[in-house]
Amino acid sequence: MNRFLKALLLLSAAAFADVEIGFDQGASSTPFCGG
Amino acid sequence: MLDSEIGTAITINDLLWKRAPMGMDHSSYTDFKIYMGYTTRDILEPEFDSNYVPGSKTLVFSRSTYTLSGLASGAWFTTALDTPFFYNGSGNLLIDIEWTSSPDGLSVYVFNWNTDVGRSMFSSPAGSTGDPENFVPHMILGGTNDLESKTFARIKTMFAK
Repeated sequence: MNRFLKALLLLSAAAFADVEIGFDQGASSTPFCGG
Repeated sequence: MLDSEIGTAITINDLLWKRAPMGMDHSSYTDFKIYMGYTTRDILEPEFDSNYVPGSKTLVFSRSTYTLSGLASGAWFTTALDTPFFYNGSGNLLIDIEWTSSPDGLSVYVFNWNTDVGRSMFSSPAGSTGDPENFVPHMILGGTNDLESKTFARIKTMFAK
């Protein structure tokens, strides 16, 4: 049972994949410019 | 976004932006639309639509009024797409955002980074062409790392034989 649960967790981790691109260098109102 | 940066096939469900500690924590935008598609270019050309691989421009988010509110400084906020976009892992990804006006005239600032080349275009008022910019928002493509459904269908067929 313990192994089975671990396998499920691994599958879950593989299924969700956020991709972060860039970093905090400057700031701009683009694309949320109100002017 | 370059394919080398994305590095995987991904079904994009959400776009996440990181609010910078300036501007406002809220605003609203009229006729706000987000399109996604593919481009073969690493540096964009001024004519917006010329950058798309023909036929790839896809509307993924649309609001007659898009309201942002209560955005914490330094925190990520999410635009949940109406239509998830399947990025196949090959080719550069275009994210194309347009809106007609902001009734209250307030700006929300987000963190960005300098790509050193013209990887974004901006036009105000919106026209068919824009000015190249080196700065691209710091973003998260929120999604699931899965295969195209027809790939599964083909595998099932092979097993059936």
